[in-house]
Amino acid sequence: MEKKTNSWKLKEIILAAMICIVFGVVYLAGVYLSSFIATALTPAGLSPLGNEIVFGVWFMAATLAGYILQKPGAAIVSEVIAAVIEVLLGNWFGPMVIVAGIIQGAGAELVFAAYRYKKFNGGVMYLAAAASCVTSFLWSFVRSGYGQFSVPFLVLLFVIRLISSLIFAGLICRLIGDGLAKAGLLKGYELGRRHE
Amino acid sequence: MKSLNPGYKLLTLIIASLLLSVTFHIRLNLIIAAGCLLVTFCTPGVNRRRLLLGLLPFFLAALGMFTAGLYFGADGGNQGVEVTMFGQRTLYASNLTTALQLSSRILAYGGLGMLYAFTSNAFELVMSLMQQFHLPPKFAYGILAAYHFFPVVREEYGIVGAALKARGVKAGPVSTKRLFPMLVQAMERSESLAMAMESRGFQDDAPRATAFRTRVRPADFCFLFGLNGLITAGLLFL
Repeated sequence: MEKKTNSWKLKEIILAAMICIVFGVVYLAGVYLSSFIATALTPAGLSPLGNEIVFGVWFMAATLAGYILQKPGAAIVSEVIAAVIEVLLGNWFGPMVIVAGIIQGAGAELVFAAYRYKKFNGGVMYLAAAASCVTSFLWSFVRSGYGQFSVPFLVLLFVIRLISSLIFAGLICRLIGDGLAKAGLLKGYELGRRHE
Repeated sequence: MKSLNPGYKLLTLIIASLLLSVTFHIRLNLIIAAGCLLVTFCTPGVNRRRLLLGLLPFFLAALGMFTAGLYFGADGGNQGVEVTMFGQRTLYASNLTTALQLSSRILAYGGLGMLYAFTSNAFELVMSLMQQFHLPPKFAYGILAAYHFFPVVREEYGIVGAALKARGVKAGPVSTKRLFPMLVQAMERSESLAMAMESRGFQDDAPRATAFRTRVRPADFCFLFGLNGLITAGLLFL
């Protein structure tokens, strides 16, 4: 049996990148939906809500890769890989996405690190998702100028983003991770070994 | 634009965006957006139709931020002109400034993003990150390998959707029912991809020869300091 190491193996990197690609495609599908909602809400001034609804999908790469690989840096590295891939694909917001990736990944990473990469259960996954949500929201203050909005509107935005993060990055990622492990696909990774 | 080193160009534009994100300067934002789009538009070899199409979501996003800022902006003392729109809301002039600040910034980011996206090449960026910014080769080639699967995965998304439909299963665009089969594929693919690379002699620590070299020229530094210098000057003097 392989020992748990902190250095990255090629297959782990490709796994993380592949997860990012899958979520990239899914996010793209979500974006069409959300921009439709956003445009529909524009006359009411609620258009940022459309973006917040699918925001949780952004963190899925971080929490799922963190859950499967269970090693220091997994969450932040995969979120940055996701951002680099976004840039490679020609994302409109281009270069800024990389900074956002670092900040979002750092949120989940902090939670995993707080448990010394030893504890990975439902609660920790929800915490990680929520932490990514909080760091990304702080980043929104800088990047999108959320400080210019009034407080009740900010609370509304935050609650929607939090719900989205908990559902997508917390609940769904955990279900998927456990499902993949049960299907016997993760034998070479930390999560699969725990399920044996 | 196209001959600049992609890694340094990325760095330049990240710094430029960060400079803009800590300030609220409407006129400068608009100048940058217009300037970047003009440069992108005039660069030879850029697909101009795609550029114009790509602008549409930006204007929609900017418009969205504009109305959001208009209705839900933090009140700056409530003085100024009152305007009634849609017969039900009272708006203040301070909110109009907020709205302009938020939406002009989206346009400026858009300009910088487009400038990058339309003049750079994915492969060259990864090579430059590896050669100039010391990204370890296993990350560089791992990312590239996965990146090239993007079209396959996108096709797969449609196939999984069709398969679900054929079985009469209802699944939304981001449903687990779609995600799970795609991730199963991703796991298997990543494992065989890694094995294929390693069995063909890919080693991270072995000395490598580079077939494709990205160079750093003085022009890259000119762009780095020039653009950010101009933005700083604009913030100070405009």
